[in-house]
Amino acid sequence: MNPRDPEYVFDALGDPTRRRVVMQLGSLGSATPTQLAQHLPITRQAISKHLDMLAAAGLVSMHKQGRQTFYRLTPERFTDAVGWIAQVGAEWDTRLAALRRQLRKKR
Amino acid sequence: MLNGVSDVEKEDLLPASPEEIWESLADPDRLSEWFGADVDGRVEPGEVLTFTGADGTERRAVVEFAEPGRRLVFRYLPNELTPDGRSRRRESSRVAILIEPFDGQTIIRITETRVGSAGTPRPQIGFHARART
Repeated sequence: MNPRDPEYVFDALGDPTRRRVVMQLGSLGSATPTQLAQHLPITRQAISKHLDMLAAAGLVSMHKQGRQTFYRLTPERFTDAVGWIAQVGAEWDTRLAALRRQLRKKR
Repeated sequence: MLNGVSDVEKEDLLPASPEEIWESLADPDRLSEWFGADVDGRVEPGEVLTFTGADGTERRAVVEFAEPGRRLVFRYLPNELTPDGRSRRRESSRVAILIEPFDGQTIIRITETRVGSAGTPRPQIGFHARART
């Protein structure tokens, strides 16, 4: 599976610890692994690994500032996931309306 | 933001008996009428259903459960066939349709959940859509 496939977002977010990293990063805006570790009950090394996976899925971007690496969320990737839900939800709305019409016709 | 589920849920109260609704699910002709695709195949566990959209794109799904008057569960396979015969990767998902009688009518509950390549539901990630129409 290509890490850039939209569905990869769901795999990357499958881990509850990674979801906490995402939420914390969302509230901080931009942070280094060390800064994140101050807010989470996991080591900086573990956070770095989770950030690597999130970056591979395109969910976070990074930039260097001196010797430090800062991470921030990439909103467009989250939009992909929301898009699937919106599309499938709309399809079912249409189908349910059509099913209702069919049942009414049969009566 | 990220503590819900990765599926779509719909619920509706329909003016029909569970048996009538089951006919709309289990008869491919009737299913095709409301599903928005031509459906071919038998609605029985282990059987493959083929959904052909208006543009000719074909998706297949394996029936996992078919309990008349109660529930239909099928799982889309992770590829679709384009009108020009090319196979294209597409998100796999599992559709569960539950029906139960309620006050002379029937409640229908539909859940479509993304699944991984092995057919297991994807982990919950935090987007939840629910509607009663």
